Amino acid sequence: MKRENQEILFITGKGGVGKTALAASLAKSKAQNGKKVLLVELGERSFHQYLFPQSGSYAPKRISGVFNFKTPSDLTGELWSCRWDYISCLKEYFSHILKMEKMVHLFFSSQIMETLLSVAPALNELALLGKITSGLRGVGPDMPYDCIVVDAFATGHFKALLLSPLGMIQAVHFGPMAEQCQNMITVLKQSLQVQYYIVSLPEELALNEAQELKTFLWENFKQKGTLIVNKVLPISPDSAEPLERELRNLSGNAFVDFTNFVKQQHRHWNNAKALLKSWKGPSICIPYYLTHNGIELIDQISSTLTSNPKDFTS
Amino acid sequence: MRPWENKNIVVCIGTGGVGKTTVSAALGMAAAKGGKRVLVLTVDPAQRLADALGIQKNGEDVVVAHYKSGSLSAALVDSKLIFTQFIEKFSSNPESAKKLINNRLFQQLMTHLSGTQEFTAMERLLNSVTLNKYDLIILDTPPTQHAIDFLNAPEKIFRLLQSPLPQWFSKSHSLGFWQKKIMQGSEKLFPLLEKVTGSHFLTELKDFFVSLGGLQETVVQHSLQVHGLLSSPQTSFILITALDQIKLFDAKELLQSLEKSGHRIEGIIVNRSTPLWSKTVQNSAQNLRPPFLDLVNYHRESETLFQNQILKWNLQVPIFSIPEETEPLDGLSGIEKISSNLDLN
Repeated sequence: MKRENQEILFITGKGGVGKTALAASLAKSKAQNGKKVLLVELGERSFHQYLFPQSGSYAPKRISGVFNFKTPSDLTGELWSCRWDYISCLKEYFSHILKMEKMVHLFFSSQIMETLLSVAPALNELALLGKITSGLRGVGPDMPYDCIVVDAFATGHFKALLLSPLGMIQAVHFGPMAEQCQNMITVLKQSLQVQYYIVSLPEELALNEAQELKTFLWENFKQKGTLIVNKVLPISPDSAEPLERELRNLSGNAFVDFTNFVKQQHRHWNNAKALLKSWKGPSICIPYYLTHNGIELIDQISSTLTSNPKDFTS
Repeated sequence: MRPWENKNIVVCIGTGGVGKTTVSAALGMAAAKGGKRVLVLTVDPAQRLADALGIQKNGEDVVVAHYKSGSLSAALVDSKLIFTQFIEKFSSNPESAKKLINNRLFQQLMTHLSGTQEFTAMERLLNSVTLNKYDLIILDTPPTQHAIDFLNAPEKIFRLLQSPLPQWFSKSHSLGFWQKKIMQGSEKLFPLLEKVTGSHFLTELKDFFVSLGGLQETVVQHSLQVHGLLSSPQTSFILITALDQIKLFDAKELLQSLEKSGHRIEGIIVNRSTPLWSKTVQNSAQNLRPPFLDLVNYHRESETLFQNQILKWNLQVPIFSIPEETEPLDGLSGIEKISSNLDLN
């Protein structure tokens, strides 16, 4: 069944910038707005299980319950979570094409599949991308969600994921694979349905990567990425002054370290502001929420997203 | 004792986004200052770091700095280059090398991120060891979610070449009894594969395997050599992690799978740990107000959570902490500052 109005949100960025927290927060905000949302993580290992103990399986599990919704009416939609690995996606796809469970089982239990995936590793990425876009393409089992939020790979691997259908078409021009790849590319370019969120820290290396990824998305898919600058800690030199004075008497090294820290935060914030200004597309800053509680963090980030005047979540 | 002392190879493992490459370089510098001739092999350095080390795009070793009796060199593991060189060197003749390099599936394989880098990093390691120019080689593992794939790469390649798929295409090899048995079962699957992937894909795949044929023996041989190197007592594994909770959960899984493959880590380096200023003000500052108060509390909590985790791991290995940098990593002096944290003296 084709889900023509389904939304797909990709969340990517440099390693360690907080992609998972942002993906979960976006998913939560969408659900609060009445949507039926599927939060997806990719790969063989589950990181979401540390946030939502019931998640981590291929089959979607409902996770709305873990959040502290003030009143039941705060959540009008539904929030589901799952983890897609390429073998499960390929199996599902093969079963769908061949319609012979037994043969598919035989196929996957043989060494052939393993060999095939070792020599044509782009197949892994294709399988994942195929599954992600299956609702919009109307291929495979039905995906009854309004919105798919993909906690995607870090920048480099994410680019490889998006490029996999382009690469495959170059290698194989005809046949069912080429056709599917062409459809995937078409979907990735649909700016109404498919959105790309680039998460960054207010820090030079991460900001540079965000800028590069923005260019990449525009050149290959004519898509404008949304910039999210995460963990912004506004520190004014004034507010640092009393502690600075005290540290000067306490320890020379710590004093130097602290003044450097204040300067660094200042510099970071200026770099972030410059990129935000030149971004020419949707962008948002998320404050640095100093908590070790994942659910609390997601609650805070999603309320920042929801209360934003540009509204990222409707 | 520092876990890189009296070792020939140090493999740095860890999850993405913890600054593994920078720490690998700092580790190399610490060892070089101790009098070793060190080579750091990096897979995917950020441009700034590559510039700081003066790494060449051509994949050659570059001397970064000389010390009293030691030296620090660095090189980039360029997958495409190493793969191509490997084929040119070990193919039975120039034509089949050319055919393989021009194969479109092969080009896909080379430009792709996962899988290939494991193999080429191993190949580069082997080349560097054979040169006998260095006392210590530090290997920064590929930025994969499954850092452990890296260690299983030799075994994976070995299994790939034992699989019936290459035989489907290259009938020239004489088959053993069991291989024939496997083939009988799997030939039925061939039409299925064609139905899903199309005949064009299979033609490319066939070309790929036929051209690969001549390289099988070398690949297997090198895989076994690398396996031997990594299992040697002269090789040490070091875990690089951060205070972040999820990174720690991940690191734990990494340690478990490492143990399963018969290796164990000999040291932990915690990057971006509590900055010096925060540690200093934790106990003595009077003027601690928001936002610094929250930040300092946050740091302290991170530290406690980390200590609790580490206790559970029950590892008797040295732990080094590198405080979060408050200055930009500016050339070699930045790496020098980080490496000073790795010195126990």
